[in-house]
Amino acid sequence: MKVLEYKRQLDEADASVVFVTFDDPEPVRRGLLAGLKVPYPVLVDRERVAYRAWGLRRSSVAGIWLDPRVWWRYAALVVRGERLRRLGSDTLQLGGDFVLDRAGKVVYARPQQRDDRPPVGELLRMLRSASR
Amino acid sequence: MLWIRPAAPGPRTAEPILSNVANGSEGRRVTGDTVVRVGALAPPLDLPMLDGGRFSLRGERGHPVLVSFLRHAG
Repeated sequence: MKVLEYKRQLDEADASVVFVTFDDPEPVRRGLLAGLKVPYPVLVDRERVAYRAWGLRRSSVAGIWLDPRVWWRYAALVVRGERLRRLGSDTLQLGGDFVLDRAGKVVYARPQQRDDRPPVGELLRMLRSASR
Repeated sequence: MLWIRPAAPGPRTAEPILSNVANGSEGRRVTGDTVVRVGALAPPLDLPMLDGGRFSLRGERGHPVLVSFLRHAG
């Protein structure tokens, strides 16, 4: 949800953001959203119908927890002073980021392959391009 | 505090299929029921919102939209 730090740039691109989670609403409020003001919809997909429809798969245990890049990323977060959250209900479910243009067409698709996210700059660039 | 819990049974995945997505993912194996393709219309997204009410992606037409599917969010 790092993209929330770029609200001004999102507004300039006339862009909106939608977050989707499959976890129970209560832990999401207490964990991920604690202390955050989210000016965009957060959708709940407990059955993961949308996750499947958008082609988002579950990883293997090795794909997540034996990948040194994942641990490296966690270490970097800790060094930066960020607080690690408790894990949710399924640590193997992968997410993804998609940018749609004004007509609802997909102009960028980045399903996660592991615990990775594209740089926010890349998403903003795609949103700006989609707003033209 | 980082806790590791056993994973809950998740959705069944289909046989591996080849993705055709942008940004360097071309040709990577992606499992799932569908693959979202660049240039195609986005699949429907019609779900309840965390704070009540219902959201439909159709209502966002006219704006560029970032749809961000989260991993675990505890």
